[in-house]
Amino acid sequence: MTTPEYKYQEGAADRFIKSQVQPFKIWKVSDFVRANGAELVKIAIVLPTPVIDDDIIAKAAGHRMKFAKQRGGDGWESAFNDQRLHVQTEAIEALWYVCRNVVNEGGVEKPSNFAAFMSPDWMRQNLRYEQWMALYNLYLATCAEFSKAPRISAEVMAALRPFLAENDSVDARLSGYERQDIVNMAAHFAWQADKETKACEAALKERDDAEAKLEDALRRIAELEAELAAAKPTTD
Amino acid sequence: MRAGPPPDVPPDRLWRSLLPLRPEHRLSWRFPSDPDLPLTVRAVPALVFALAQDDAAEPGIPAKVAIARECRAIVAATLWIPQQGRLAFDSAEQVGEVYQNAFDTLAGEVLDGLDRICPTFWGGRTDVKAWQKALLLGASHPANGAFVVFMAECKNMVAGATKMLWDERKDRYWNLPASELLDGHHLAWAAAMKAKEKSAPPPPKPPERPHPPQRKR
Repeated sequence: MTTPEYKYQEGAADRFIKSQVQPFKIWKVSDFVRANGAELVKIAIVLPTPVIDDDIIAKAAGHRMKFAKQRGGDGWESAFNDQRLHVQTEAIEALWYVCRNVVNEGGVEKPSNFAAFMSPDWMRQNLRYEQWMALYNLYLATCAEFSKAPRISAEVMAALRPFLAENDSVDARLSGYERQDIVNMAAHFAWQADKETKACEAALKERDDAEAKLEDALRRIAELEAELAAAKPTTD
Repeated sequence: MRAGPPPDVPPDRLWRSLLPLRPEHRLSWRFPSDPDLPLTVRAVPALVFALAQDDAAEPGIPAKVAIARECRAIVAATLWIPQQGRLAFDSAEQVGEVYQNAFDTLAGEVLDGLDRICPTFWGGRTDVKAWQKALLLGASHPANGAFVVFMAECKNMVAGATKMLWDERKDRYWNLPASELLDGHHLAWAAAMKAKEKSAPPPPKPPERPHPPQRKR
């Protein structure tokens, strides 16, 4: 008697995972050069799945520990918590994965399967801090657009975009964590403002409707009064 | 924040909702690729939460990664397809292939659903005192009187040193080993026993003896 061979049955979850479209956004960039010297005009930022994101963070934490021990020696803990080192490891690992070349397939621009830069080490050696931060801003802006947690409307996103995308903001020299906190905070306040604005608009509309009803009623009263006056018998 | 009992469920229904072997709560979220397939979240023993936390917390892993892993393990262990009688995901790794934007919504609904049907003593997730209060109200409700009596019958009388004692047999009511019982079962049982004690009639008074006839002097 032979044991029946186990056959994996595709489930609803498998179909869902296959049907997903990787979230991405294409941004115009300047001041970036590829490894072969060609100028980079557009860049596609793709969002990783949580498993890949975790791998990136865990891998970066390993690098961070290694660098901190190399630089800090016995006092490696303070070096490990240095925000600059955090950006150099975790952000660069993530940025290398998310930055993709743009390909044009039948008139539609899509991210290619190839990373835009050669390797995280290449990025560390050849890109300036400002360039990392510009890419990081684009990554955060893409995350904010696809994030469901604070629902950001198109208007709110338009207001946020200059802060996120303009290269001016890199002068602030914020660390990755601070930058993310600011984006989260800005998104939250923008979301709150959006909610309050909608509530105000609804209240104003309600008031206008009530006023219109009141005017109608007054007009009707005036008409009735006029009719009454006309119908009143004269005493002469 | 600790999750208390859902405010929109009346106490009698809340108490009854914990009685099934594995209480379920229907989700509004569905797989976009299978919109006709309803999904539920299914209550699990506290051990599942504990193991999810243990597996996630590998040494040297940053805290945020550990929390995300734990969350994925809980979703994998509780998301249920009632039509097929199976878990929706095979493993936590498979849940990790869902993109973050979809996962945020899914995980939010699953955890909210669990807070409604799966109170637990593990990890301080549940406001136990608030649940106990609401469940006592529910168990004392006249509509649940019969269920409370059935529970109260699941006891063995044991001879103690000086008096007879009652040995509570929750496993007999649910026909499950103690390791498979949910924390919700324990809470519902405790509320039922308390409600039974309260509703029991006071012990009969000893019959009064007639006064002895007074002697005439």
